[in-house]
Amino acid sequence: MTKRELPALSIVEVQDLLRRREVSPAEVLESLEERINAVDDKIGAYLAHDLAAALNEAEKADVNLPLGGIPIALKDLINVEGQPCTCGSKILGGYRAPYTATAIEKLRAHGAIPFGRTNMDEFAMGSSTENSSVQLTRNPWDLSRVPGGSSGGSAAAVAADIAFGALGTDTGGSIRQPAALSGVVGFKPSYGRVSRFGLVAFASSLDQIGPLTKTVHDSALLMNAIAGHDLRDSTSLDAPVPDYTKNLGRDLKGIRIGLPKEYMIEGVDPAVKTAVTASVKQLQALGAEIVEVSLPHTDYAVSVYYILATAEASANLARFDGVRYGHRADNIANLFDHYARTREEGFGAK
Amino acid sequence: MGKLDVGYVAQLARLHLTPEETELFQKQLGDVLLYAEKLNEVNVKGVEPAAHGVPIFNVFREDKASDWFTPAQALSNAPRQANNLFIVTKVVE
Repeated sequence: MTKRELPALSIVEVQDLLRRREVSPAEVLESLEERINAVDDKIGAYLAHDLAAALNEAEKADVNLPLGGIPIALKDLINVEGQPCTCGSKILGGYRAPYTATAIEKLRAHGAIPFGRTNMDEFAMGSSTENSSVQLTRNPWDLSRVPGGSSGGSAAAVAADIAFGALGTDTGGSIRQPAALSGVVGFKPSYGRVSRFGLVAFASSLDQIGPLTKTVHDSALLMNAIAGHDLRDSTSLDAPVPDYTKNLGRDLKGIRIGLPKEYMIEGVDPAVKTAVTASVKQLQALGAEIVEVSLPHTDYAVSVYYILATAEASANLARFDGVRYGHRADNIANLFDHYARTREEGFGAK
Repeated sequence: MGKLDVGYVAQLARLHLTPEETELFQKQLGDVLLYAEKLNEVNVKGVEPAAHGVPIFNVFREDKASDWFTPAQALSNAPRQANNLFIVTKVVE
């Protein structure tokens, strides 16, 4: 195994090499750094990455932990003390997080090393990563296309083998859609499963942190690390966390899966339809029973989403007023001017 | 549905808008209001209001002080500060 080949591996594969002492956590990081420097100019997945800080953490890494020594990239809206957290916005340009999100504390407790901040639509509002105020991110499979969004940086990083796995967030599809567009595994946990403490809020009643990975097994490993109740997030679910890996590789006998007929309507791309049909066949072959179901209110979901998400976003983004953190306009005439100019200069159009 | 006063909304949101922006947002906000209108089609008679899919009520913690930010941490990103305080723009004219 040369350093060059390392970044293409899955988390499970790297873990195996780490535990057999064939590579060290520092070598894993350095191989990733080398590939980031070689290809990210073209992709633009990362807004920042701090090799020195990560190597410091790698020195103490315990490779026998479930994610021991594995670098994980983070969408740039999850706070990690001392790291930037721009949310893809100019308004948080010089911000350094003064505390660490629960999900990251849990990742670290499982041995992972947070490494790299990935690009996103500004404050997670968008579905192409073109609404980042910092830079564009391109789809690694075809640089003329978008990677999806808003977690487009995380999806592109995993697809381009410049991250073994990444965290994103999903409010109205922002993990699932970029994962689909970039050809990686994306998982949106049920609301409440992963603590939102330390996540910069977009629409609080919908936001969830979740993994983007190369394989389903890797996704399960990340969920095992980040899921669980947190006293610091009052909407987090106080329920036991299953071992997400325990059913991997088993058949699906006795499992019934509903297929909503409203999802297969006009306007669905034929390629998507073919892929879904193939998945359904695969699930059936594994023993699952597929039942057509009806979700009659599907047509109203977008309306409900746009009302709730914009209302919650306007409340959540009121905190960016140039008082406690973030950008503040200069030469202000009065209080109205303070708020107005700070926001005009700090926020993008979206 | 009445015409939306974007100028008034902008004032509430503390934003200066150019005439072009006012026109653009007039249309965009109008579209959002159409979403609300679409929901009028749904008959919700007899449907119990549901705030959320996960039933969580009254989350309290023990009424005990615990360590949190030091003043230095809280001020570490302040655009302007002095004497362990945030400096704000004059509020009362």
